[in-house]
Amino acid sequence: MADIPQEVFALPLFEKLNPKQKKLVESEASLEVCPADTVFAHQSEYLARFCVILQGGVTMYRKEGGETKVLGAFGQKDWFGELGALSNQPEPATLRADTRTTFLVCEQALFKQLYKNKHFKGLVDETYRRLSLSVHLRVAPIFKSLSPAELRAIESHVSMVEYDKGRVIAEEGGEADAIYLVRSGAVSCTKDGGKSILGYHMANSSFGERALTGQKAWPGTYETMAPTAVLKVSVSVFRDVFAQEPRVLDVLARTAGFIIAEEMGETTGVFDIAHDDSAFSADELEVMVGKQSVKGGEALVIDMHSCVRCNACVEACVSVHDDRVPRLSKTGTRVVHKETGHTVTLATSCYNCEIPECMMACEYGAIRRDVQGLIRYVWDNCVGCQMCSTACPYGVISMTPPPRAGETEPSFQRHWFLQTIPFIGKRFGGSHRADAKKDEGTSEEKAVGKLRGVESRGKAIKCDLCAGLPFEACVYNCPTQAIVRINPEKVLTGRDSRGLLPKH
Amino acid sequence: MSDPGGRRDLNRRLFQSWHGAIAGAIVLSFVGWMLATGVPAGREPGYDRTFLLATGWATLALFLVVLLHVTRKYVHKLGISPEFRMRVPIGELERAETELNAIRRQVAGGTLTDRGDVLRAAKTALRRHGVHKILRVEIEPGDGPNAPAWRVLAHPTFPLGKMFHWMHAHLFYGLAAGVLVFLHGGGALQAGLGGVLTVLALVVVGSGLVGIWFWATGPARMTADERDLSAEKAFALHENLERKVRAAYDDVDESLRAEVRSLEDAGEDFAARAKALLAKSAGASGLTDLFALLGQRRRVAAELRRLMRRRSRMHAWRVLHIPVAIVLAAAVVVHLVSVLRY
Ligand code: SF4
Ligand code: SF4
Ligand code: SF4
Repeated sequence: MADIPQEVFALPLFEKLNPKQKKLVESEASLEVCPADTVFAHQSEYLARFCVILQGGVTMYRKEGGETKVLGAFGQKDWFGELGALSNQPEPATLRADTRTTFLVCEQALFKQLYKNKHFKGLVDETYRRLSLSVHLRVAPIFKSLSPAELRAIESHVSMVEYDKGRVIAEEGGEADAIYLVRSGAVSCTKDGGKSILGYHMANSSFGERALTGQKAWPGTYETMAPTAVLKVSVSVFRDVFAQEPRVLDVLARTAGFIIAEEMGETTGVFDIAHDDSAFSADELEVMVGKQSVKGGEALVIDMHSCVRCNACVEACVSVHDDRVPRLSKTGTRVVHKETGHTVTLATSCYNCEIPECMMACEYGAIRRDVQGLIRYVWDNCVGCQMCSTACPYGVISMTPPPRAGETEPSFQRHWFLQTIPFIGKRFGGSHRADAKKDEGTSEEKAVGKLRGVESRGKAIKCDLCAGLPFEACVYNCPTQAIVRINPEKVLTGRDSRGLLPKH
Repeated sequence: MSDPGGRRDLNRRLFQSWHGAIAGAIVLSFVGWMLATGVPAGREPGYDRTFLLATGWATLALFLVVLLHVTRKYVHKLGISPEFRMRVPIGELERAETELNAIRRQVAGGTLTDRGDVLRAAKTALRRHGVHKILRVEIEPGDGPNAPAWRVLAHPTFPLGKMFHWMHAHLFYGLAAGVLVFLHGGGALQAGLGGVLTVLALVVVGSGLVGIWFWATGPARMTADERDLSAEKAFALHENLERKVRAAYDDVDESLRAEVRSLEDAGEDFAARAKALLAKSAGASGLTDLFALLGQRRRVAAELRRLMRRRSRMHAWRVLHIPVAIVLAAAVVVHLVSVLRY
């Protein structure tokens, strides 16, 4: 770790840190140097770290709909990255060093410690409100329906509220009068006096949209599970700001209706409340819920005390996809059981989110939710614009090179040399490409993408659960049963039948 | 067994299998036979031909199960195992799921209450759309006070069984075969094919035992080792730094690049040589940044090497196990042919 120069503590941001926090900066922060004209952080990169410029400067620009806009510049003593460090959001813009630039880099854990300092937090929040708030608001599906100008109009009415652990934000049956977007921490929604949980809301998850519709009562009690920061917009704000624009109010009400319908779907499988004897600390809980794993459907979870690191799972994923690109990566969030040290990894693979940011971002009808609740690609519609990979908070979507003429979506591999054997080669699966072409999407769906003249940067790919095959290749081929697809909430509460995180 | 560092945690999942009980029962029955009748192992004086044949055939059967696992693994890897032929169009999959949803609604609405009826209806729905070979229905009692009485779940069928079942079979029947080889051959290291077979079997089973030990204890050790940085993350970080280094070279004067490159492979003296070069070319633009990046890359590469070394150690036993197992298989065939012919 590089020596942190003492001048750092003279910066306005750090000057009021207490000695313990200063020590943390000295031991945990690092210095990074970025040569002139090089990119320090890419738009949509998932960095989750907070950076302060000690020397030099960077320009911030963002690609939107094929256009590159310069958003501004940061100079010495400026900082950025609070959105990612606090709310696990991908970088909203690309940052390029104008000259040789030195950064002080605080990883997420350190940032969260420093954020407890009132002065530090005040300054960070002020920049957040000025630069990142409108970007962040668009995370909530309800705000996606608003144009940037409309968003700016409500920006000044957004309040930033913080709660300690165990505080009630809204009571079941009470009047829903505001929309909340969780910045950090976690909120549980329980009903019937806490007997059953309707769901969790964690960073970047919103609730209260029903206030914009006829259904005005809170469906449950919203209570913080960890210290939690939220953005709050009162419903009256929408009525006041858009009083002259009934169209906007109508769009908002319709979007809210859609969100509630999704919620209704979610709550059919009401599960029992997590018991207090769960041995996870608030921090670990926050890691899991903070990355929406709890909220997502089922995730690929790797038991790190059974995984022999043979890589068979990743190789199996490669081998069932024609493009030879794995949809699975063994990197991901590690969760450690507080008492036993038992560790699981939430592998980087699609969570089939209940609110799929990728689907919301795609303008070409290339992503849809099927009746199984899975998020699927209509390969032919994908124009390679990368909006989905930018939107996915977990970075699970990657791009393949543009397909050759006549090629359809990645289907399941047969060994190419077997396919070349005259007559019998077809038996080994030559026909599967044709099957894939038949299966994916209706002709209307396909037509949409083709009408757009967008330059393709390949095709978006993500875990497709090996759809159509009688196995999930990664789970099927693991020699030690280390990788399983399971609802992470069950792992968290020690209720999974496989005892992934057993209460030793 | 609880160790917050996780180092002492055994990979218990490796041993939890009914194949273990079956393999144990097979071995015990032969040992019981020996004890009850007093027959010696192998061809010791007073040997029993029936016992010899029985142990021989049983060993062969166990070896065949092990071989079946290996075949299943590679046939699947090549994409030519039969389950690939079961692929169904996604449209059919979705239509079947729509029907399952209708059944779920009936369950929630209380018009379908009997578990058997729910199961029948769900199975019929899958069959109607030809997806019954890839999906299997499971009916579970509802979870929670407000939930429907039954949950209708559809899981992949995993037609050939998951690899870990095969792995368990390999492990336990392989071990049992090792014991039976001893009972069959008497453990004597005599000259000739019998002795060769015994030695080969000993090496295969011995290396397998080492493998079991590594696979049982390795994961927890690796996890404890990787607490700060996993090998996968180190690899990604290394790639990232590699890109940055390449970009940083462009900022360095061309005349200096070759000299810096020659430092890339330097050992312990990297820092000293870098310092010297920096002093020599004081003021050269971009050089300090490039050395900072090279230094970072070296540290990450060293960590990656350390982790990968540990990983390969966990699998090193296979270097002996696999080739010797192939030779053993060939020797068993020769032994079998010679026994049957002569
Ligand atoms: S691709 Fe990303 S955003 Fe889309 S459903 Fe999967 S995890 Fe969620
Ligand atoms: S389920 Fe299939 S596509 Fe998804 S990660 Fe596993 S092998 Fe890859
Ligand atoms: S196949 Fe299983 S044991 Fe091997 S690396 Fe993947 S999860 Fe780990």
